[in-house]
Amino acid sequence: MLMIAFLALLGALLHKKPLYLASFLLSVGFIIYRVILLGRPPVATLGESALFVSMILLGLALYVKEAARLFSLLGAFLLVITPLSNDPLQPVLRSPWWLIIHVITIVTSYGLLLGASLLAHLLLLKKSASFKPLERLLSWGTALLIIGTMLGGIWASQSWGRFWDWDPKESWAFISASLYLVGLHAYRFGKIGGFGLALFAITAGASITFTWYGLNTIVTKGLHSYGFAEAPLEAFLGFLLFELLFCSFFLTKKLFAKKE
Amino acid sequence: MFIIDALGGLWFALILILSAAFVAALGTWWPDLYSSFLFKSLLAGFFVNILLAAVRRYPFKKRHVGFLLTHAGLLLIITALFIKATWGVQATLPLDRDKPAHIAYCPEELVLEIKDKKTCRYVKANAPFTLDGLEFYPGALIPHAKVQLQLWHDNSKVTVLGVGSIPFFENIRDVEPLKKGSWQILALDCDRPEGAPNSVIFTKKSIFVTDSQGQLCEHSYALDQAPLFAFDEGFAGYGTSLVLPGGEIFFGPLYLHIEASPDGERALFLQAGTQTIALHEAAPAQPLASYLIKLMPRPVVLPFAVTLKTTWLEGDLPHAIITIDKETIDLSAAQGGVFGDYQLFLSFFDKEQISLVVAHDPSGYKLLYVGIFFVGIGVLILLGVRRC
Repeated sequence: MLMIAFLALLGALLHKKPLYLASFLLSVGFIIYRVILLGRPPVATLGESALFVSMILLGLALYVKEAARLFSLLGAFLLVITPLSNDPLQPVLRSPWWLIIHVITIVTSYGLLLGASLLAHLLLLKKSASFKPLERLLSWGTALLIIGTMLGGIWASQSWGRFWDWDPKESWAFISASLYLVGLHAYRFGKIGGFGLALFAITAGASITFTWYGLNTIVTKGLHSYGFAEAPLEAFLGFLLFELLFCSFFLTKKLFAKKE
Repeated sequence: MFIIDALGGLWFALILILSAAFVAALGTWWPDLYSSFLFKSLLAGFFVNILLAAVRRYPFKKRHVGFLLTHAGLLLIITALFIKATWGVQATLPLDRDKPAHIAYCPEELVLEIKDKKTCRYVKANAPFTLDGLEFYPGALIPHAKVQLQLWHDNSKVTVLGVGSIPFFENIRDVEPLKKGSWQILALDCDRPEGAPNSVIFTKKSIFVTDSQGQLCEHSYALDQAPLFAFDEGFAGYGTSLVLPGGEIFFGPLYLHIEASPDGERALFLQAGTQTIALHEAAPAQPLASYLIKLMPRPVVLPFAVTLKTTWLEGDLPHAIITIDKETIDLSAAQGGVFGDYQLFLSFFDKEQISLVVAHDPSGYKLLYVGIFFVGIGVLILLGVRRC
């Protein structure tokens, strides 16, 4: 994992496509290795999901050239901080079929939406840029989030007898999907432009981060207990503060520019 | 037309979505919000908005296919969830070995069972009710630490392990007792998660708490140091407990006696075992009525009886065999069972007793699955639609 992170970091520094490709392929290979080692898809814990999100980001670095460096950096960061365990699965998770289609769909959406948030930061910093890649990432990410959440509901109905019960994970999946739907609808119907879409991507990215990371480490209640882990609250609060300041700065700047 | 445009319009949709998201976020810490009138109204608003947003685009064109499929799917899902919530069953059925049971309980809905010699009725635990012209208003319901517990019996002691560590209060005043057979089981709540122990061992006289290394913690209590509280939710026993004026904790049925004095004033007495506590005295009064009051999760009568036959552990995977109407069903923590239209899942496991989650959806999940399919296809089609 550290080797992949090193390659990804090197790719970000030198901005070379072969390095991005190598780190992506190696991360795919590492996941395949974990599948063989564990006998199941490596998506049962927070750490394992971080591995997957990292792979998605490293893949996105090949697709979205403007943000390749950022994607590669975040991918490397996730690989470095990811703790992995070889513990057996809890009984309710021992369904490889659902583990694959629900969790992989969801973590793929997390990767795309976090990538969109990163790209949004970059687009706000650059004055003239196309927002098309952002819209595409958001659209695909939201689609997979909605589909993955529904698949999770089907799994829940087969495991616990109910499709939806406002479990914290379910609630925040709903909240995150809602934020993305608001942004995409407003953009598609011309109520906001690229700038507004970028702000939505960042705000909703914070929501997705809470859904993925915050619930498993800060709230730690609900039926998704198998993902619970210990992690510093301060890091997450710091991230939220940064996002708030970032968005406030650019919103203020835009408002002042309009007045002039 | 204006109303259809307004209620089916984008702005209404955006306001609804953001409001629902905000309330849902608050619900993470205050789950009661999810069953509040406000939240249900927002969800009803969703239904209206999604329906009218589709209707106002009539006559439909080819480019509306993805949008219509998605919206139709969402309507089906909301309808299916409404049917399940209103007419379906989602309850917990406790089973003791070889004892048939047909009454399940909804742990999220507390009711007061009020029985006299002739009648039995249920009222919501948080709603006022009337008995013989007297109005009763609910006081505080002390929330119980909601953790799943696994219990092992060992003749003289019961060892309780939680899923994750069981936290506890340093101040025993916050301890809430339950009853299970002849043991007092104390469920504990914590405000120091980092100090939480891993197991709580109950004997007939004392409670011992151990840390994750199995070492006894300093917080071991003798059971005669009882805290003060009143009308507490039970856990495994679904019982009612009350602290008597001397500090003793009483478990078991509580009787409410109402007496009428000649001038019509009502006197109220609460009877717990052999002790009687006067809630309101009037002099001199004649007995009018007696009610047995029990706080419990809302009961659900099932159309069949379930009997637990045997349990065993396969590695770390609990299994149980149950029978329903001569049909034998094998359940495990990883695999549920089906009887007719009912789904059964193993939710609690012990050598001599289990709890099952019993689920029944009158629409048979068909509406739900069709809705999900429509949403899935619709969303994928929409991905290819250009910006309007």
